[in-house]
Amino acid sequence: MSLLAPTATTERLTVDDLSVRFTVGHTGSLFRRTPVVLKAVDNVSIALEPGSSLGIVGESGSGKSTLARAIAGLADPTEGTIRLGTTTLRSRRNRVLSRRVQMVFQDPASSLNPRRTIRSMLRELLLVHHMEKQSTVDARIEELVGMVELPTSVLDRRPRGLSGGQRQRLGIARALALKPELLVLDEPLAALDVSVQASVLILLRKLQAELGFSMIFISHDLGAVRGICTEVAVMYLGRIVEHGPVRDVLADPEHPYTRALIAAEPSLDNPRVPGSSGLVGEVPSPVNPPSGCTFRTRCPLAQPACASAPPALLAYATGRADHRVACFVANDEI
Amino acid sequence: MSAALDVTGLQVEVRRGHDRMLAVTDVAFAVEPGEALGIVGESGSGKSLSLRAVAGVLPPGVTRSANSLITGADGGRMAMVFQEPLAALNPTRRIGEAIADVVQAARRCSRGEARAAAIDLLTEVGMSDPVRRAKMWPHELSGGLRQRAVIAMALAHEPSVLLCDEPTTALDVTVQDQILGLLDRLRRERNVALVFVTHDLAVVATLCQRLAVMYAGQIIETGNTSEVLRAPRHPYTMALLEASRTRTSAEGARPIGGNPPDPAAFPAGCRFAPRCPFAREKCRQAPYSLRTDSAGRPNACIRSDELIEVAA
Repeated sequence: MSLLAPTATTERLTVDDLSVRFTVGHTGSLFRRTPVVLKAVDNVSIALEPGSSLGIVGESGSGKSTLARAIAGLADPTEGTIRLGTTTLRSRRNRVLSRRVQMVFQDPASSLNPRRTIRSMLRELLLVHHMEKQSTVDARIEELVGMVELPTSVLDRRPRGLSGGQRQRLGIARALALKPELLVLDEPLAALDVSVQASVLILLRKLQAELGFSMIFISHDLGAVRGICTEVAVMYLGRIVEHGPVRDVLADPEHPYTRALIAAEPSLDNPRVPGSSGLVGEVPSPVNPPSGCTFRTRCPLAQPACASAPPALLAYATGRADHRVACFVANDEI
Repeated sequence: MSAALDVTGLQVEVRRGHDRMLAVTDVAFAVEPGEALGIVGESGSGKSLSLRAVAGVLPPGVTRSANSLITGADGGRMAMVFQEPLAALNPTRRIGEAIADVVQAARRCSRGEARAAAIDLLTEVGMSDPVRRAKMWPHELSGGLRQRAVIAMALAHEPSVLLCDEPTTALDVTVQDQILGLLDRLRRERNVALVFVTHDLAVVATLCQRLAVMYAGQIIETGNTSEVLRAPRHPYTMALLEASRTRTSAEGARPIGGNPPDPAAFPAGCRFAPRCPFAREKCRQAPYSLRTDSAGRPNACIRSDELIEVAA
C-alpha cells in the first residue's frame, strides 16, 4: 500500500441540533445564585457530504470557532449529536475516533511543541497512534513534510526557527499524519501574509483533491472561503442564518446579514465609499441576545414581527432546496 | 500647498546582538492635507518600522538614522493609531478621563473644559451615548468602540497627520468598514492627512488616494492607487496583486516563490531579484531605488519599460 493512499473512506458528517452553552458567571445574592449562561452555539444542524468543504463565516462572537471545536471534540456540546457515518462522536473520544477528525489552528506555533524538533514531534505522534512501525516511521515523516511542500531540512529545526507559512504547513502535516476523514481548520490563514495565504490555499485544495478528506473551514474572510469551499454557512450569535453552495450564497445572498457582510468586505477592483456597508453597531452580547430573530436590532428590513420567534432555516423563497435562509422577510413569511 | 508631512531619506537601524543592520533604507514619501496615503507590504517589509520611525515610537534597539528628514506643515503635529487599541489605552483610567488628560496636555484649559472636549471628541468619532461611554473602562468596550476611543484620543492632539498602523486588522469586516468610514470622514471634514499602513491592498483601494508598496525595507512602487492597482509596473506589486486576487478564485495561480529577505542579508542588487520571474543578470548587479520610468510611473524595477512591452 502506498503511504500516500487516501483515507480509506470518508463518511458523511451529520450535526443535529447542536448547542454549546457556557456558564460565564453568576448573578443574584450569595445564597440565590443564578448562573449567567452564554449560548455560544444554539441549535445548529449541518450535514457535510464526504469530500466537500464547508466554510463557516461570521463576526467574532458568532460561535463559529466554538462550533468547530465541538466538532473536533475540543468543546463539550450541551445538547445535540455529532455523527460521522453511523458513529456518534462525543467530546471524549478514544484514539481511533479522535484520529477521524483533526484540527488545524490559527496560530500554528501554539499547536507545535516549542522544545521539540519537528522530526521528534511527528515521530511521537505517528508511533503513539500506531500509524507506523519504528522501521517505517522515518520514511513517513519525510513523506508528510514533502506532502506539504517543505524541504526535509525543516525536520531538525524547532518551530521557532520556521516562518509563519512553514509552521502552518506543518500544522497541516501534523493533522494529516493521522489520515483524518474530516479536517477542521480554524482561521488557518488569519496570521499569514497575503502571498503565503495564497500558497497555503492552493496546497489545501491540492491535498483535498488527492486525499479525499472533508473540510470545515472557519474564517472571517469571505475571499478565502470563495477560494476553497464548495458550500458556506453564515453564523450570527450562535445560529446559522444562511447556508448553501458558495456560488449561490456569496453571489446571491438572501439574508440581510450575509448581504451586509459581503458589502462590508473591502474590494480590490470595485472599491466602495468607506463606511457605506450600511450595517450599524456591533454584535449584541451572546449572554443576553435579542428575542426572536437575533439580527433584528441591526437589520435594515426588521419588522415588529421579527421579535416574536426565531426564524427557521428554510428553503422557501430561494426555490432551491440546498440554499436555506433564516429570515422572515426573505422567506415571505411576514 | 505645502505637504502635511514630508519624509525623505528615512533609514531605520536595527541592532541584533552585536550586528547592526538597516531594516528601512532611503524611504521617502509625502502627504498633502486631506489626502490618504496607503503603505502596503508584507510582514518584515519595514512598513510599520517606517511609520513608527516617523512617529518617533521605535522599540528598544531600533533607531532612526540622523540623516532622516521629517518635516511638516504646522510643525507636523502627528498622532498615531495602533493595531491593538487595548495596548494604547490605560486600563486604570476611564476613557473619558484618559481623553481629557490628552486634551489638557495639548492645550491649557480647566478639567471641566477638558471633560467636555472629551465628550465632543467621542461624539465626533461616532460613539453613540458618549456621556455614558466616557465613564466606561477600556476593557468594557468592544474592539470597534475601543478603536474609536483611541482615534478620539489621537484627535485631542489636533493633529495635521494621523499615522495609522493596521488599525482595522484585528476587527471584523463590518466594524472595519465603520472605522474606515470614520477615518475617511475625518480626512474630509478636518482636512487631516492619513498615512495608513496595512497588508491589505483592498483596504487601500477603499480608503487611500495614493499608494506606496514596500518590499525589503524600500518603497518599490508608488503612485495613484487606482493606477497602480490597474496597471502595476513593478513585478513585486504584480505578484502581490495576483496573490490577493487568487485567494478568492477557485482556480489556482502561481504564488510568489521563496521568502522575503532578512535585513541582515538584503541582496546586493534589486532586492526582489531572487524571487522575480523576470530577473536578468543586470538586476543582480547594482542596487536600484525608486525612479520614474518612461510612463512617468515611479518604481524601482529597471526592466519595467521592457516588461510592459512584453506584456503588450
